[in-house]
Amino acid sequence: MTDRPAGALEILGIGASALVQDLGRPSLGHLGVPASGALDVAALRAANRLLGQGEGAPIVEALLGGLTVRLHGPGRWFATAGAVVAVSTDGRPRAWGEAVRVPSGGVLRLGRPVRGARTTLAVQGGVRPAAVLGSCSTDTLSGLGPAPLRVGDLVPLGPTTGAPAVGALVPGGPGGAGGPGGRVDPVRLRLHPGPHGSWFPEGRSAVAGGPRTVSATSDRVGLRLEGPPIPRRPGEVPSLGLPPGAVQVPPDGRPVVLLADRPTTGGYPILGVVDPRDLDACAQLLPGDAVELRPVRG
Amino acid sequence: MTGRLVRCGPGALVVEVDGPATAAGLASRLRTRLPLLGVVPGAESVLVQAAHGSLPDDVAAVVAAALAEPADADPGSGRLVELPVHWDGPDLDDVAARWGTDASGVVARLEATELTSAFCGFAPGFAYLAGLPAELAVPRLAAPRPRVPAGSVALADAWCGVYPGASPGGWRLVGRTDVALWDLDADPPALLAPGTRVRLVPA
Repeated sequence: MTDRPAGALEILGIGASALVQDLGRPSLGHLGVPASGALDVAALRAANRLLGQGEGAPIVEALLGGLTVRLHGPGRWFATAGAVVAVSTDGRPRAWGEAVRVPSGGVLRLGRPVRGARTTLAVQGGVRPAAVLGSCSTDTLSGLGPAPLRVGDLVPLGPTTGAPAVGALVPGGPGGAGGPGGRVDPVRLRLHPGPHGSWFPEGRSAVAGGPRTVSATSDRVGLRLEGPPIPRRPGEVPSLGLPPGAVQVPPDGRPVVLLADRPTTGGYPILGVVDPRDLDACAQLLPGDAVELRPVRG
Repeated sequence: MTGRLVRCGPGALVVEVDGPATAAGLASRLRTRLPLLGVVPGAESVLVQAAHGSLPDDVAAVVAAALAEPADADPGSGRLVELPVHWDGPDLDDVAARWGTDASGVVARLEATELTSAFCGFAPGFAYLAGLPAELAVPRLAAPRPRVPAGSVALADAWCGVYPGASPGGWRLVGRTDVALWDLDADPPALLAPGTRVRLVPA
């Protein structure tokens, strides 16, 4: 018996931020616990599949690349998905979107994304700080879960299971389901009807006045969009549970697409709900990117 | 019980009902029937959501069956929690003026009212406690306080709430309790989970 984990990641460098994420705490909303979890769930699943392990194993979500880690303990396989970055181990270029072997003591580095915003770095065995309420996810809204990673941290890794799919690529390669999507400009988000249609005199067609752009204030709580204000009645609705992708319209008329770290309930009227299949793409948008909310039926 | 189902795309639906007690009761029944989904009560609604992806095909039928069940387990049947309160909140006199009474009148009214946790939000373990009549509604502060101490007992609209941890806050503070509202080692970690009855008693 030993208290020392068999392996650990030493954080040597961080880009804009580096957070541990898994599938979050999706079933505790009634207690006021945000869902949290990986913003790009397809990338989480794809990277873990490349390592032959459970799709929900905790990963590091690196915003704007820049993540540099040293492996402590025996050699392990790593995999990347999500935003496309240059990957290197001990200074040697490696493939993005594949399983790569890192030797004991090896240093893996992610460059700045050439496309997308958030790169998923999965490690054989999972990145395993102490779980809170069944998840290792950092919830940036409530503060639940581990603190955001900082340079100098030594993060435990779990025991390795399964065998990596050596030579396999994330589905479809850099433009596929494990990457930042088949990017089109503007990125189209399907907008389903929501519970507050009567609050918007122009209905969901109010968003049809051309693409909007991603605000620099966007974060894991919500994708905030700039553009012409959306007309709405004044006041608030009775507080209600907020599903992922709900498009809240505060009094200033600027819509917010609610993401993983959204509050559990809220009182701003909801214009509609973005299709869950389009939410991974939201994780990969950068300030200034063009977005079109496109109303679809039911 | 009646409710209106509003589909919110493939991954979520909202059931609109007549008020907080109905919402909390329906949410509690739905949670046992749909353990894999998120079930979140609101003031006049219940959200049913898939964590990632689509709801199962039979979810509307499950909701209809839960709505058809007698609501015998709703008000007055939840666990009762007594919260000892120090009635020394900075907004106690302000609330008294709005209620047309004095501080002791506010305290007497709050201690005489059985509250029920309708839903949670704002922060883990922050419960919206229903029970005050609409005519005692008070507005939120024009500018939220940057820091409200943990355990603060507060009012906004006709809701009562207790801050589980220190945070910014715009509710009017009437007192504070030393009881822990949020404990990660407890099950559930929220002391005032929806459906819980609450009595405010002198500390």
